[in-house]
Order: sequence, then structure tokens, then C-alpha cells
Amino acid sequence: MKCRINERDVEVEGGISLGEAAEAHCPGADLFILNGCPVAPTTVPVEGDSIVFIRRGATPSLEELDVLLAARHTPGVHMRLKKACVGIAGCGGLGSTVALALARVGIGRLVLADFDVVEPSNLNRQQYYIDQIGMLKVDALEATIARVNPAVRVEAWSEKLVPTNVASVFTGVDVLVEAFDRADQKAMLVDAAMKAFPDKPLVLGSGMAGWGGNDRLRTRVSGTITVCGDETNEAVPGRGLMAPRVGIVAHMQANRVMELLLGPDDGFGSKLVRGRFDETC
Amino acid sequence: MLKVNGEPLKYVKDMTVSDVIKAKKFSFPLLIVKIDGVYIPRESYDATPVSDDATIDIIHLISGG
Repeated sequence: MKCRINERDVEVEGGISLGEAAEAHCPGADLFILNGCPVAPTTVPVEGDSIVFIRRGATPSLEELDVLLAARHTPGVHMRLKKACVGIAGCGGLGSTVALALARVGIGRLVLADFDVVEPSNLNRQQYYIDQIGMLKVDALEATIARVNPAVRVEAWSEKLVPTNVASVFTGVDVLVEAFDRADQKAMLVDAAMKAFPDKPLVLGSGMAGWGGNDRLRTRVSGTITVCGDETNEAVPGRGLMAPRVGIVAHMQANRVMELLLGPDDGFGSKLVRGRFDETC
Repeated sequence: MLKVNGEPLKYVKDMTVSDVIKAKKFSFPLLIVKIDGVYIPRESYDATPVSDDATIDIIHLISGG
């Protein structure tokens, strides 16, 4: 019978367990993932299953990494995200977090834009490290992305985004993420993007200062525009910006980007496993 | 019926986008306005009329990120 093993079409003997199949296809494997979900080596695959064998602790080659990284994805997601390009305007608390989330799911290409350098107060919520202080944010972020998923192609822009260059920087992206800190910058980007490409999906973050209030963070969709946040809590003297709440909104944005690229999660990948392995996931 | 962010708003004759914003008493100065799905640039708020059956979405742009 035909199965996908580590993203290759392979003929597998019917009725044998994953542990037995691994002896032929990936000797030494100690982690068995079936259709995006880890299972016991005694599990018996069926025709059409997607199987990933992993040797824990072994550093894979770059080609292997691309496959292994996606082992816990819903089947089919990786191939579709690899073809997508996402623009991120601003690489602060929102943008750096969105970029890394999308890199981890194997987005094909990211267009990052930020003119600023990493400074110490960024570290309370942004995905940078002490040894990156003073670096351009786009350079630091590109380096970190390469440490997570070197297959992501990154295009880094370090000039300031202004109404006249938004269209040229982001012309090739499938979805644009607004990830600025200041409201006037957010307004500039939305205005320039809506005038240049009114049909391109735009995902905004608005209202994420302070802490708590998980249930007030929401996603609102108006045509091509999506806004994530509480639309209320402004960063002002007396109310700061901190990793948890900014990070939640950033991940809401990244999650919405996936939905825009893949369509709704109606279980297109889990149809393979429904009724068989649901209890193990 | 005129609706703003899903809630009905009393229509006034010759109402513009600026009038809607004033009527809703929004506390944040920077907004995105869409009328029946069409983006309205900020510089057009005073001159853009609103019909009595329009569906308007207004999004607040708030500092933080």
C-alpha cells in the first residue's frame, strides 16, 4: 500500500506496525508521527497515511529538517504555506512574534520592514536577545528565523515605511500584517495599503496594553481587514506593553494569517484520522 | 437602518462620516472607516455622505505593539 513517509511516497507492506516500518525506512527512529499526531510504534498505518519518523536528539540535514519540522502540522498545511508570502510592517512586539510563529509553521517567504535597532527595553516583549542589542531589528530577526527554519526566504527592508513606499515594499505579499507600535503609524500603513491594494487581506493589531482581560481580546473582520486586540487598552504613561498580552495578540494575528491562507479549519487534514486516532491527539 | 459596528444609529438628514464619528463619541482619534465594505480615507470624512441604510464598520487604531 502507498503511504507518505517523511514526505516521500513509499510502498509499505500492509498490516505492519510503524515500528516495523521504521526498521526499513528510518532505522533508529524513536518518535512516530501519524497524520500530525504522535502515536505508539505498535500503531498500524493504512493506505494514504502520512507518516514521519524522527530520531530524537539527532540534528537532521536541511532537507530532512523541512519535513520533520512539519511533522506535527495538520497534514497538507505545510505544502500550502510554503507557497505563501506574508508582509510584516514593523518588527517589534507584534511583528517579531508573528514572524517567528509563521516561520515555525513553514511559511515560504516573509517580507519584514522596520528601520529601528534592538534596544534593551524591547526585550520585555519582543523576540530579540541581549547579544542582538544594537543590531537592526530586521537583521536580528532574520538571523533568529534562520535558527528556527532556514527554509524560510526572508526579504528585509530597513528603511522607514512611509506612504510612498508601502506599495512597492509589499506588492508581492499574499497577506499584510500591521505590527507597528504607534497609532499614527498604524493609520499611515492602513491608508497606504488600502489605497494601493484594496483587495489584499490586512491583519491589524489594536489594543493590547496592560495585562489580564484575556476574554476581551478578540478578532473582528470587516471585509479584507481583520483587527485583533481589545480595541480599548492603549499604551500610555501608566499602562505598559508586556510580553503575555502583546504575544497573545501577535499570535491571534498569525493565526488569522493562517486562516486567510488556508481557509477555515474545517478538518480538511484530519479527515484521514477521524475516528481512528482522535483519542491519542 | 443605519448600523455602526452592528448597532443601529439614528440617521440625520445630510449625515456625513464625520457626523457619524461625532455621534458615536469615539474616544480615540485614529480610526478606520468602511461603508458597505468600501474604505473611506481620512481626508474624505467631511465630504462623504452616509445613507440611511448604510452598514458602517469603524475600527479604533490604538498605540501598542
